[in-house]
Amino acid sequence: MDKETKIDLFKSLLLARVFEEKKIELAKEIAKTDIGPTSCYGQEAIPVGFCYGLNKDDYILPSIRSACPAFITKGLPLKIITAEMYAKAGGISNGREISSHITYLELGIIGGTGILASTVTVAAGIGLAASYKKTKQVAVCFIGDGASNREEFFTGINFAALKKLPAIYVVENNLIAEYTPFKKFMPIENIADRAVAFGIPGKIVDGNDVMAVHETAQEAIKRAREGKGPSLIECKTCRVRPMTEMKSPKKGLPEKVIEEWKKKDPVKRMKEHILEIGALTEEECNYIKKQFQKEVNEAFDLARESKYASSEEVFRDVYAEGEMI
Amino acid sequence: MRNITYRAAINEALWEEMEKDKAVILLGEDISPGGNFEVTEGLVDKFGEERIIDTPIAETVIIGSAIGAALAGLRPVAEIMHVDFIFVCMDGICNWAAKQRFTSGGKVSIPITIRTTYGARGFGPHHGQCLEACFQNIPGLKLIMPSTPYDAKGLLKSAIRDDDPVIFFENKNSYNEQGEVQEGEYTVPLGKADVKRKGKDVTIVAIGSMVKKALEAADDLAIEGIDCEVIDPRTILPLDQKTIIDSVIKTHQVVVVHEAPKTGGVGGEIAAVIMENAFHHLKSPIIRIGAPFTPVPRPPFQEIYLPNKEKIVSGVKKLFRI
Repeated sequence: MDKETKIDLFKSLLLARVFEEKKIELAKEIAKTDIGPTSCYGQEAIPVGFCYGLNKDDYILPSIRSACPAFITKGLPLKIITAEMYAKAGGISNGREISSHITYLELGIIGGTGILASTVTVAAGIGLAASYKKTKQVAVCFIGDGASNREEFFTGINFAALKKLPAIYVVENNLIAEYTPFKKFMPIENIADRAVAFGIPGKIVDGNDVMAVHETAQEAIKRAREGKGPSLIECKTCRVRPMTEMKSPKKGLPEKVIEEWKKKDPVKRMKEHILEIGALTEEECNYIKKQFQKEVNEAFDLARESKYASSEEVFRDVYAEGEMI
Repeated sequence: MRNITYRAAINEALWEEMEKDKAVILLGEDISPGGNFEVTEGLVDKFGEERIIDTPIAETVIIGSAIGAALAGLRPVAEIMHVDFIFVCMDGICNWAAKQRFTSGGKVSIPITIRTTYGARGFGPHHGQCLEACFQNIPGLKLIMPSTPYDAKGLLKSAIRDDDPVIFFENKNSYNEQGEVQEGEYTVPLGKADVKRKGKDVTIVAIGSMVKKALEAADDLAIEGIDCEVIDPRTILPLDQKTIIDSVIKTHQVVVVHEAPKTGGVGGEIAAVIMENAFHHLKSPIIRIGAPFTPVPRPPFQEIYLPNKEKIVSGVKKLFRI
């Protein structure tokens, strides 16, 4: 991986982190108009590593936790995400949908539903269209370890494998689903092992190493573009935050486990590497971070100051005809 | 005009729309060999396996991948063999397809058509239900229940061209029924009821499979001097309220009939629309006829269970206190 790519990856990771920090800081305020923020803090390397380098017309279907870093890395303006959080005009849905379900077709961003892993079959369908139209586009679908037991995980990946569709399935294994630890709902150690059942590559990667994630992603994306079919990639990580920022940390993973994983924080590790190879200096890193903080603050300020859409504007867009029937 | 079957009319609609628009693809179980009801017969020879896509037995895949393909610019037609199987993929239909336009601020369409079959045919409680009412309370969906070959062809063509998700309910007992269908291009618009028989004494609003029974009942009642108007809404969503209300204002009496259980059925909504808009024109309470509130049994009990000509005749006679 060349130096420029490393710097870019680091910057994307840092921007994602700064955004997550702000989300945590403003959690109570955001939760007044949006679902309690599900922070990706500590897991940003997975969406960043996969979304960095995708083409504009490639598709992503983020999980509820990876949504913000995925949106940002795919190029969605921050102000759209914050407007959506505050249910203001200037977002996507005019205050109708939660911010982690943004659909923005111009950037291939597809928002899911409350049913986790329902994106797996939808990603296969996107792959089906891409393969029928011979566009070489790919669909990257992110799901959590908890959602990996849903039936769509099996039916969707099976179909994508059967038809050799350009879909990449990414499992963010953060060791816990809502309040239930991994071992209580998963009979196997590695979800990637399930790839064998579909006859596709199943890989395990250190989800807190953004360079490793990105390299694995590129390999799977290349394979998908070449028409060789889907891959299942399990990124090992840890949820160091509560289920949502409004929930008690006591219901998360044990403090000991979290402390161990915090030592492997993806931003810290990438920064150390960047400094070590002399790609950036400490001062440059600090300067970039300050710039990002300014950008993020501006996006949140703008959302706060923006107006709500009128009720007339909200209660429409149900049918193509533009009105309720 | 020529006569063709309900099945052939649907096949023609698919054929013509696929010929017209390369974005139209078909997804479903066993559809390349023609499907369980032989409706898609012959399409694979013309359009190839690239467009007539056999899926594994997984309704979540049929609907989920249809939605994905629609998001990426195609216009998929998905087949769910029996509507009873649709419970497996309700998330795709009710959460994904029905809500994407709303959640995307009006920018995203999911132009999928879901073809499925309803109706009791001796297959028991898991292969004979009528589930249109389950979807009537989901904003974003359009629901079609054609009763004749002519309507089936014209409405399916409109459904495929429509930019919203549509569920197209085919009556599995009608596939072999013949009807007049003109050659070549025509469509039937969504949201437009059809007055299947003109009359002045009573309005019978009949849904799907019950249209034929209502017309038979009207013939019998005519002998006794009761002149029935039979209205086929054709689409449940959007519902052509005007045609129904106009008829009630003329006849002052209404019977609503469908094959689904009366309780919680589409008939209740239609009755409420009439009450809200034409209460003062009514001479007597609205009569609803539907199946009892039990699952569908097999023959010979199925015949007792289903609404039929006799039940409609006696429903109408109640209004006239005969």
